[in-house]
Amino acid sequence: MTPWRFLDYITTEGRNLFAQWYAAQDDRVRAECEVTLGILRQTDDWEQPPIPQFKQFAKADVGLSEVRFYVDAPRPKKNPRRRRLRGFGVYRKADRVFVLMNGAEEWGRHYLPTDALSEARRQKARLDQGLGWMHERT
Amino acid sequence: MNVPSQSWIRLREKAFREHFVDAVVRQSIPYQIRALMKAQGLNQEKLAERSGLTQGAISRAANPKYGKLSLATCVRVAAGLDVAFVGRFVPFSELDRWFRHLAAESADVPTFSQEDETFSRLGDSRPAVWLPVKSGAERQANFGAGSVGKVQEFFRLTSPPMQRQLGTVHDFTKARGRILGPSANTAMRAVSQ
Repeated sequence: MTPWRFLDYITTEGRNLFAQWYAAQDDRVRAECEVTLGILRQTDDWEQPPIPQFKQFAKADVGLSEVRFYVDAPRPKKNPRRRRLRGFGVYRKADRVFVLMNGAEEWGRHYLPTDALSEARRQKARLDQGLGWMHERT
Repeated sequence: MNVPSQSWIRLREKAFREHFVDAVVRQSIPYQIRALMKAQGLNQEKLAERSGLTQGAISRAANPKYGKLSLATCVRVAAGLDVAFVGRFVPFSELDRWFRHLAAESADVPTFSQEDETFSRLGDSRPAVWLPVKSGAERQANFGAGSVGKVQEFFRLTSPPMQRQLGTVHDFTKARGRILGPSANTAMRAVSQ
């Protein structure tokens, strides 16, 4: 089985939004992110059977996908809040590559930062035009 | 000593590595359960029946989002899969190596019946074979075989993925994880003759 590869999308201005988001997270989120990507690297098929760490968007956002992971906020002790973290990107099954474009926390029906998904859409459009470049995550 | 991966640098932060262990345990056990269910052709109902658990409990055990899997449940699931479950304390280098090869190792866990069949085919007269392990020390590798040739036979009978990994010394080293050093190469040369 060829392992999956994760690439960071870097804009023509040299911005790496996923890396910026990742760097701003605490250790708990970063560790969970690394383990999730590590599991996905080794998961042969992400679609069949469906796996909880991956979802493809539909309708207006076809072509965009998200890597999903979760951390339990340590407080309050009773009923700790589950934080739902997302890494938006483009899933290229044929190449066994996932291009990470931005990160966010899902909050109800919204994201934090609020423009995370729209920014990912813009990045995908740029990638589709052949703009920017990609850097392999290790 | 296992050679660490590039992610080793991140483990130098204590807080990060504590959360890393937590995340590996929560995500890798469900991953292994799903891999073994697939390998054995089991669905959740069937595994629940064999484990003495409910289908809901199996569903939670196989879901990395659940995150509150108990040791008792792991042991019951292992019983249903007819494999062993061992929770043990290890150095970070071993965790790192194990996690990087999680897929290969999860697919390569024979059931007791499969192993027993292998041993039965080898017979009972099994003098020990010595293979070099970490740091130049030697450890008795109890493969249940009377010669180096029998060691090869053991792996050949174990499982098809292990058979494929027998091709080179490097692959053999990777497959066993702990067997390192130039003396292992010598032993494997003898195996392939």
